[in-house]
Amino acid sequence: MLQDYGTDKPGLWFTYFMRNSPLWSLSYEWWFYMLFFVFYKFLIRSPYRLLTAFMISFVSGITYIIYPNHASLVFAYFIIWWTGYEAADVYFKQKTFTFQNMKWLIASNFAILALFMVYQFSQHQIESALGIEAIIVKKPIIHFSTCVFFLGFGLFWWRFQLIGFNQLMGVFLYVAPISYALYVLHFPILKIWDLYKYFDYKESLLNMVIVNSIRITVLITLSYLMEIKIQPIINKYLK
Amino acid sequence: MKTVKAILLFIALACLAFKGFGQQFNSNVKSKINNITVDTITKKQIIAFIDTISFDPNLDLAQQIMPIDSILNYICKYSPTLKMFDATPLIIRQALRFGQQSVILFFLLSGFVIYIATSRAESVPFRDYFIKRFRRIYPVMLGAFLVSFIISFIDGNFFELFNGKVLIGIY
Repeated sequence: MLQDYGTDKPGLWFTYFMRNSPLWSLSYEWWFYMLFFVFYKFLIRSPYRLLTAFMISFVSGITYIIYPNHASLVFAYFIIWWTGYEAADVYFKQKTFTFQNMKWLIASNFAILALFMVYQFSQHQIESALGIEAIIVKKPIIHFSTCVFFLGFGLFWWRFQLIGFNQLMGVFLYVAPISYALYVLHFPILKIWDLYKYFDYKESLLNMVIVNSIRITVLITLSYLMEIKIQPIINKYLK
Repeated sequence: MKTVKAILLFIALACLAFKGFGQQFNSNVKSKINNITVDTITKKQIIAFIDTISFDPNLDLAQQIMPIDSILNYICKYSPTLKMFDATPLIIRQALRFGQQSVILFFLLSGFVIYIATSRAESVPFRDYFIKRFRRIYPVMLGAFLVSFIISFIDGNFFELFNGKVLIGIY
């Protein structure tokens, strides 16, 4: 559980398995779970838990810039995941989202975004001042920008009574029970599996429909088997 | 043979529907489509296409599909009306490019959900917590490994892709 996707994120230790690049996020999720337990045990009732999570992520962001490594990156990203936890806390205690009760969550993520952006745009000066090799942190910038965007957009949407939420997100209810398997299997089946080699010419529209129909059928079937049939058996024996 | 015919007709109509799908998404297409109705050439092509769905029992499936495929491609490529829908796959491709952003949304939601999962419990023993997380993530992930193995075998590039380094995950 240390795999990651290397483009524009230097210092990674391990790559994903056999070209299945979406598996990168699993290692983050796993270590967020593990780190959460530490927070749960020692900080869950502390008023400083957001500050602690932020400091961990911010310091890790700095250590990543100075010495690019996967562990620092996972810790740096932890604030994103922890923001979800804090947002739930806000919601269940205050029953609403406002800019006032979300400001520190947005600010925490924005601060780390700013850290990476400032570094990216002044890396040559930093390189010469600190004597460290400049790295590209495009992916972390994209990820933290996305996080800030989602928080801002979510707040905006909330103010408009989440108009269209059920219609838009309701679709996902149908795939939710198999969503994890769909995620980890979609890349090898939809992208890597070369079914076109069985056809004489690849540019055919009909071939495209046939190939993708087969791929989607296999993907849904395997996801269903894994999540609905096999997973309950595993749950039964692994307690 | 009726079943084969029905399947092929379904596929052919699915092709057309797939091409037509862009109408809902692409505003450029929408504005253009208002000015153009289905032209005579397209109508003739569609009729010719439907006419081809009459099968010769002496031909195999691939040979039967071929004329439909050719005509369908021809229609989609040269029809002034349908040509505009070529933007659709591009739109879908663009939408699928936001995988990284979706993962960030997932992280946020995952943190949200773990609050719900743990806030009501008086205490969460590490063993229970670990096992629940382990059995949620690992079995399906190992299943994905297996699928990657099988696909590389089918594609005939297993020995190119798999070695000790890949198993450990070293770059």
